Amino acid sequence: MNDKRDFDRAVDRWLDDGSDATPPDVINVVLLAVRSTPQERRSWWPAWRTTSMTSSLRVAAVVALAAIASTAVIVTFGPAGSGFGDTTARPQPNPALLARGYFVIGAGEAVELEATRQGSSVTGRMAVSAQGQNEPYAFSVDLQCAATTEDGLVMIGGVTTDATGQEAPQQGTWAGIVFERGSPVGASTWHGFQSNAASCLAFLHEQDRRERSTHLGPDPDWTDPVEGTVELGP
Amino acid sequence: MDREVVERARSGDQEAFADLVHQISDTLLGVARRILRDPTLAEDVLQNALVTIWRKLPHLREADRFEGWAFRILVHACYAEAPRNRKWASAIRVLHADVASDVDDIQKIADRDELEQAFRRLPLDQRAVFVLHHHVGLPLVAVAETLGIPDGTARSRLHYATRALHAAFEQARAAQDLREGRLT
Repeated sequence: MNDKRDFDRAVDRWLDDGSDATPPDVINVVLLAVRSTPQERRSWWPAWRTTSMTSSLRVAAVVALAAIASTAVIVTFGPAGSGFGDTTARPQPNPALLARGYFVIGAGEAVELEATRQGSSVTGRMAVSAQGQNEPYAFSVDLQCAATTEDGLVMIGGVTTDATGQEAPQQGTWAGIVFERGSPVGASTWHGFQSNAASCLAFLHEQDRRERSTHLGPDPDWTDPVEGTVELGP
Repeated sequence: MDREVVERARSGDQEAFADLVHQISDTLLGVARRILRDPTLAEDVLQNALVTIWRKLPHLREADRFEGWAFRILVHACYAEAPRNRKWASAIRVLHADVASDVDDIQKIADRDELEQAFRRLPLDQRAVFVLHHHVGLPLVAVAETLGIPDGTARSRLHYATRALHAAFEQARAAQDLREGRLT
């Protein structure tokens, strides 16, 4: 305990070293540059709007999405099983693998996962355990939804069950995992962010939008490479 | 951060933006300085980031999220600037006998030097998470949201950074214990 306190104090001393006062000439250069720099005009970004859209904008979004729907895979809205423009009844396909494996990611999170999709229904379970910053934590997720983004990220989510430890999400809250295809496969869990999403799919959509909200693009190292075995469905 | 000032700046009001700059520049410079470990480079990055913030401000949908959004632009500016700058300023500390005569002072300086060297060996993305969490005081979830990364990724970066710094700290202490053992 003393060692941790000493370490924390040493880090605080080292981090606090030096002055943060911005030299006036730095600010003057910025304000001068701003005079001759136009602001970017905000672009209309229809695919990522949620329930706050007006009905006319939603119709326009459907039209826009239908135009590119042949190759893009999109996050679906609304109740499970419904998608944009999907009004025809189809026979239920055989269960298909979404993801399966036992692997370790990032700061030593051990993940055991099996998720399958049958039509629009997703079932499966994910168990996560790790040492944590201060104490071990573990939780399970009853998997209920999945979506793939336009750039190929595979997102799977569900409801937390059996949670222990400070860093585990609360029982009954949404949690999930995102995979990035590659060699090795990348993955990262979503479980710390407090979400008020009304559905599992809305939660996935919210997590994805959170990372893209400022138009700067996803971080190049968005996920961590996994160590272990993981199999992703097609 | 005054929401109304952000909204006016977002609409193109340069005076309002000047207000924002005065409010936020010290905080942003502090973050850049701590990530890059080079005060001159940090000032360049701050300038680039502030101009980018001005340009992209119309894209900020919620004025209340200005600060986190500004941190994100700053961190991306750090990422963009760092690889171009091959010459990193080294933090050479001159030890004056009257400053470092006390054993405690020697220990503090040794700790700081080891931490500094270990931190400079870390990749920028780990440094950014560490600084936002330990210096700015953001909880990990807020760090993840600010940087636009999953919270699992933020957690792992902090874990690696902390582990490296802790190892350096242990090394500094072991070296000091050895010196004291030699002296006694």
